[in-house]
Amino acid sequence: MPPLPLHLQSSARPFIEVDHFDFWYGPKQVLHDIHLAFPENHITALIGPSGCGKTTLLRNLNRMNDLVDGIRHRGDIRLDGTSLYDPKVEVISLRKRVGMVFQKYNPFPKSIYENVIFSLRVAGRNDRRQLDEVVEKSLRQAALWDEVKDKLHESAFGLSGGQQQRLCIARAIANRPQVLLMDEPCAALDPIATLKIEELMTQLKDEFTIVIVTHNMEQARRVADLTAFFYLGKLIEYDETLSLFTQPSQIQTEAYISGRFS
Amino acid sequence: MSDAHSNPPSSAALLSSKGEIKVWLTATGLNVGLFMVAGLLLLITWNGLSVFWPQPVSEFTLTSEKDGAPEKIAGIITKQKTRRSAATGQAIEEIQIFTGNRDAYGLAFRFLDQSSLASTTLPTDYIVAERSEYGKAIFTPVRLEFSPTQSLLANDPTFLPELHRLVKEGNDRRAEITALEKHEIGAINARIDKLEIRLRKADPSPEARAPLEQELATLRSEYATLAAQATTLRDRQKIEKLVYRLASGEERSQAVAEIIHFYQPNQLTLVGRFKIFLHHALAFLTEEPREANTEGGIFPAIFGTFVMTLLMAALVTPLGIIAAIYLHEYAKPGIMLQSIRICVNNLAGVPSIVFGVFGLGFFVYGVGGYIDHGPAYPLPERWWFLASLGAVVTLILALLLTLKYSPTQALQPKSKARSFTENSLWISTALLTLLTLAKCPYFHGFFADKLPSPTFGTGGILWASITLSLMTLPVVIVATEEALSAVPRGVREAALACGASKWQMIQRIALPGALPGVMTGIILAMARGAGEVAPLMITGVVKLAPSLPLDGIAPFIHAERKFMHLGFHIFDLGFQSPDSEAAKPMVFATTLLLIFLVVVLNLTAIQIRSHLRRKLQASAF
Ligand SMILES: Nc1ncnc2c1ncn2[C@@H]1O[C@H](COP(=O)(O)OP(=O)(O)OP(=O)(O)O)[C@@H](O)[C@H]1O
Ligand SMILES: [Mg+2]
Repeated sequence: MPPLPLHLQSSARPFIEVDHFDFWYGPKQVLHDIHLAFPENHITALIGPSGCGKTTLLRNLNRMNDLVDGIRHRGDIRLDGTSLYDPKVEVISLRKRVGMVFQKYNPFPKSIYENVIFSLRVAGRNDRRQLDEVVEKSLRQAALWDEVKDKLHESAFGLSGGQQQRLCIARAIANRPQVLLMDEPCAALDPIATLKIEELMTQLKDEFTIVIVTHNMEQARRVADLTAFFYLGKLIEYDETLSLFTQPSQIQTEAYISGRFS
Repeated sequence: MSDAHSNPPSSAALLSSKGEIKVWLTATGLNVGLFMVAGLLLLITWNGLSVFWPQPVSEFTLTSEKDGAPEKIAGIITKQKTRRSAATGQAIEEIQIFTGNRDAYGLAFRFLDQSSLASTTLPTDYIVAERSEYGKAIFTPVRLEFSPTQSLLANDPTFLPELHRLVKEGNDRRAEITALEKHEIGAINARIDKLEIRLRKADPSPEARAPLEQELATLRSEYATLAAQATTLRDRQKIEKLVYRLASGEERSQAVAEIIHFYQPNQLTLVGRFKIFLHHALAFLTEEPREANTEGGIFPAIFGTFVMTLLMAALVTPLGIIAAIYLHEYAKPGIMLQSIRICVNNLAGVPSIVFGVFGLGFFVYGVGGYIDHGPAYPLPERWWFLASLGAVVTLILALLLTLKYSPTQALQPKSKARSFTENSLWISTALLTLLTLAKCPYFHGFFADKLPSPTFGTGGILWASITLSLMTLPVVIVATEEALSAVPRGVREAALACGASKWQMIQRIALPGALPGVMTGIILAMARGAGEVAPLMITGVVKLAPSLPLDGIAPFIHAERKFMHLGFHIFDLGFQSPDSEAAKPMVFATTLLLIFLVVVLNLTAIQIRSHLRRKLQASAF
């Protein structure tokens, strides 16, 4: 059983458990024996230098890496107690439970409305009233409703970069997944949009279990309850955000968060 | 640095070091190419359009005499050139004139030496008339004869309006005759044919035959009534006569109703000329050809090209898109896929006549013959039963094997042996099914009654379209694959992350995104197909088709009919017609139209592509 950090062990339930997980792209091992659990209704931040495998871990949580040829894994990942690799688990229904926001915003070449309800459409839900409700609720939660409510049926490409990223967030939460994976959601955004998305994450955590990858220490500090530090494909340290930033137990962690990293 | 100043390089070295010579060379190459293309287009446009422009008629008085008076001849100057005389070596100015009146002169063109001309005038009263037979006539009118006793002289002020009226009446009556003969009589003929076939097959008892024979008799009498109507109309056409005089002084008489259209070229204002020009152009586009295609319009060829191209696009689009989706989205990359891609690309380079030969052998004789009279070499019944049994058994086995594999297990790859058996079972099912269908001893064709005259077993618009769609398939496949790879990976992943299956992702995100590129491919394929001639010549194009592939007689679409085509029309006019000089204007006009068609298609494709590019840029930021 992968452990939660000490202080949470009584108060929170581990929702995603990554159990001694190794991962290879072809011959190259990218993740080494990752062993940790993400608590329900908390925000966990993954930090670490570029290329250390944060995105790879995240993409394994909804089996997005299945698309890549020549991958291999060892160990297990469990969602709410069931292994993702259980033969009975269908990838499609898994991805409905685990929403994802990508590092680079990628709205579909469709209207704003159709973008938000895409996951409902592919699930075969077409009831107009229901769809309208979902669109409004998701866009409100993504703090975008007031800006787009008059142009729902215009192309999503007419929005600014920050708005497009918030649209992608609305799209990811539209069918109420249990987990929300966010890969550097603010990398392309200005400080104001970043702030809006951070606010949004704090609101959403009552409903979702959130895992976020970020390069921005301040952001991790502001929004994350827990932070995991990765280095060269290994999990170096995993703790409550405040203690990880104030009293890191590993020297690599300290070097990284203080910016003295070579 | 001081070195460079003290020792300036020679200008040639400077040039070559900057590569400027190469720039000039490439620019020259480009210019030569552009110049040639522009020249060709200009030549065709000029010649093609001038066909429709009404030119003045000159009257030439020759120095030679005929019957005691100087010989006169009237015509339109078509060419002026100098020729070196074979005898004296002197340069001789020569003109070519279009005299028309093929019925009187035998030829429509004549060459005259400048030196033999005494004078040239432009008399105003000449009329150029287009007739339904013998081409154009150029003459001065003398009188209209309404009946042997009643006539109207040409200098009467009501002469021209009266002539206009009669010509119009004649045209209306001709249209009526065509409608009668082509459509009504044609429909009755089709019904009579069907009845006769039924009668042939019906059992010989008189009770069974009586109603059929009764019906046949009614149809025959209907036919006779219609035919009589047509004959009356035809006779009516001959009543009014126009008497006219040629430049030589000879007077001739001609049924007014045979004149299709006339004008007085030497009295026309610019606007009048322009009106005649438009009239000619319109007639060219909408009328049927006359006189071995050298006169009249090319409507059936336009229509045939259009229908053939659309049919081809309708066939090649689904096939190409499905193939491209499989190649790009599902097929495993590897040697197999590579070699298939190479084959597809090479298919685009196969000479089109090879496709034509294949189409003739496989589609026309093979499939068409099968449709007509069933398999040529059916299996013996016992073997056929075995084959169909085999097909059913392999189908059941293949289904069992495939369906027992639940999609939840999709992660563990199938074992090699298992997927091999599965594939070979499916393939043998397909082969056995084909065999049972193609060799069925109980099938004797859908059109066996009409044999020995073939229905589908001869060239036709369907086979021509299928052959061309095979030829243009690579264009669509390559364009679709390119368009699919232009759909950003991020968008595809986003769709999958939203819980879409792979097929939903392709259908809702990848294909709509690729649509403009796919459209470009289809239009390019259409442009290529529309301009193709060689494969069509052996799969269904004819010089003169009796009827269009689409018409009002059930079943409306006649996929087995032969058709006319612009490209073949050019070839036929220019190189197969008895009077190539007379056909030349039509060749230019038809070429202009075909080039126009292909250019319009290509421009549309370019427009769509740039639109696509703009759209993709929008998605990048
Ligand atoms: N599709 C792939 N095929 C092969 N190797 C890959 C692939 N994707 C990532 N890698 C490799 O895996 C390693 C980890 O990549 P990953 O994208 O997980 O890093 P990251 O921590 O997200 O980095 P960044 O912060 O720059 O996004 C890198 O060394 C990378 O080269
Ligand atoms: Mg990353």
